[in-house]
Amino acid sequence: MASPTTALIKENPYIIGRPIYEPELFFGREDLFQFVADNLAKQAKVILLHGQRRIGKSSVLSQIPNFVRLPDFVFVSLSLEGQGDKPLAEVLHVLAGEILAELDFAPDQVALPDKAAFQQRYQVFAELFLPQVYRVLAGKKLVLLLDEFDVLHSNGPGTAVEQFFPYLHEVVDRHESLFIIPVVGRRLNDLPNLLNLFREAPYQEVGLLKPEPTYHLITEPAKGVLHYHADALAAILELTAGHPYFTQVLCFAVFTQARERQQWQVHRVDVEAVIERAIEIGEGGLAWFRDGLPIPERVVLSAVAESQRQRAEAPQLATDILTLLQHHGVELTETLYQAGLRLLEWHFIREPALLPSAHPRHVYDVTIDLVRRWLVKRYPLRDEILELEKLDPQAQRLYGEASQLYQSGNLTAAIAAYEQALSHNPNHFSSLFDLANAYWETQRRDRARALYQRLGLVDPIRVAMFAPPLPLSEPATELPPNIAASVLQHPAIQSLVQRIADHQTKIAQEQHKPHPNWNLIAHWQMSIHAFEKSIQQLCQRLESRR
Amino acid sequence: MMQMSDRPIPTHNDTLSALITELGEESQQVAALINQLRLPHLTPQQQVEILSELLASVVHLHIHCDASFQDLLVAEIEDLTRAEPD
Repeated sequence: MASPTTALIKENPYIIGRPIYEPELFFGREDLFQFVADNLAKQAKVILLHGQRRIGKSSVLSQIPNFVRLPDFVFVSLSLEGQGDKPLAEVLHVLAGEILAELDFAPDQVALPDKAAFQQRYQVFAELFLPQVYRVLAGKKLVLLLDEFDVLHSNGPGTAVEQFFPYLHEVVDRHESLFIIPVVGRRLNDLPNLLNLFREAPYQEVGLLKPEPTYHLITEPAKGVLHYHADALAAILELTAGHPYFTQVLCFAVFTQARERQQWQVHRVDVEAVIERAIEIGEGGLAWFRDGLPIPERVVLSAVAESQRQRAEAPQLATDILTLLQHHGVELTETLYQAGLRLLEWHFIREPALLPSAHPRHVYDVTIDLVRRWLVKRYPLRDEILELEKLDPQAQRLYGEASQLYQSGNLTAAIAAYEQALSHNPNHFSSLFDLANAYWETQRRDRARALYQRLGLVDPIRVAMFAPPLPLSEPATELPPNIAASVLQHPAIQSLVQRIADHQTKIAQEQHKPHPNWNLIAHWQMSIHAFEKSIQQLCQRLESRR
Repeated sequence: MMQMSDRPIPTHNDTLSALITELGEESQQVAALINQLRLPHLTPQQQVEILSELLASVVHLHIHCDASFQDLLVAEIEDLTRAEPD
């Protein structure tokens, strides 16, 4: 339905890629503003806000002066973006300048000490500058809203990071009129450190929007132009879970499509039709969202996305993420367990909507479905697990050394170095592959075979192309040296060898099915291992009696 | 006509179904080997061959009936108990 007015509208009203400064375009967060107001009223000197990337922290911060109405407090928004590499004196000088600009004081009201004065003695910030500001504020309290607070935390020695936090802490403690509200969330790893520093500070998560404000965020910007039907609103909420950035991205795409088609009624089908386009529009934001996660968290997130995809295709084969990672050849480490817990804590993943009694352990959903769709497309689990190699620099170094030894033909030393690399990082797959080759070349076929089997799960193409062929009928065990042929021909050994061959055939057949049952394959692999062990013990026993 | 032993085990879990089928096959094999051992006039070589097969079966059963298989059985029992009407 196109009307003459709507047809003329060209500008897309949805905002992506910048904070919302306009109070009329900002929705929800009432609880958060109340939390800030209550704590300021209780004279809490530091209030920490944290949240995922792109959750709208900067928007919240910029709206605090509009929605937290406390007449005794004056708010100043400051961004620490780009200050990470600077020395403390310079950062404080910049902040002082921004405070003056924000408060719009006349030049004769407060004298800003020059850069040289700060460089000579950075304490002028608290000793000379701030007292002048308090005087002009005439008894009102100064609240510094510090955006990108944690940017200072991620830089090396010699920068503001070493001194900025302790100094700010000390000034806030000493100055009765100074309050700070920092927001953090660039890097998941940083939060515990910051919480530790401001131990006494109340803190609150900037989380997902509730349905009601999400609906406002969807409908209000395009009011009178786009008409969203209830099924469309539900579809958007299902895809974005109330994440403001992704909601805006999706609505931006919906609006673009409506304008192209001159069709201003929006139903579920229209929302579903723009998912791919929304992913393209939100690509930058999605990448930024993922980049803030450490490698183990990225791997677990992709595992959750993949397990959800598998569950959708074959619900009876529901695999928990730990088993799924094992089926991809990943050895489960404490880091991966912790990563899963942190993703849950930070609401990147959540338990599926099932009755608690029916909820299997370690089965999760990616909270934002749009993110899940993007992950499955751009960061499939099989690619993502290869990143685990980068986790331990020591393993990387040892791998380099091992490779040199391998190339120089010193296989024994190379094997030791690869083993050492793997003891630092059991998921260093390059070490695993080269180690398998080294074992193969030194005739330790049993060990090589076990490693190739695991590598087949990690990277089947590489194994198919570069690993030596693995004969099925050959005794799959590493026999003690000098075993007599008569021992190997013993019926008991032969029957065990036959069992191994039978199980290998079963594995090969299962692997060729469209949906292999990896639990069964793992079970059979364990059985093979038990037969191999039994062969070894039997050989030793028969040999000793000869 | 489909033999009783060829029919899939109707459990909620495909892995469990396959493992129970395998357990049945191995158990039949064990029963057959034990019956063979009961035969009169077996030569020592025949006995060695039967006992060797029995050894492989026992190794298999030992690993087959490990904790994970027991867990699957318990989970299935729990599922069925929950699904049962009051």
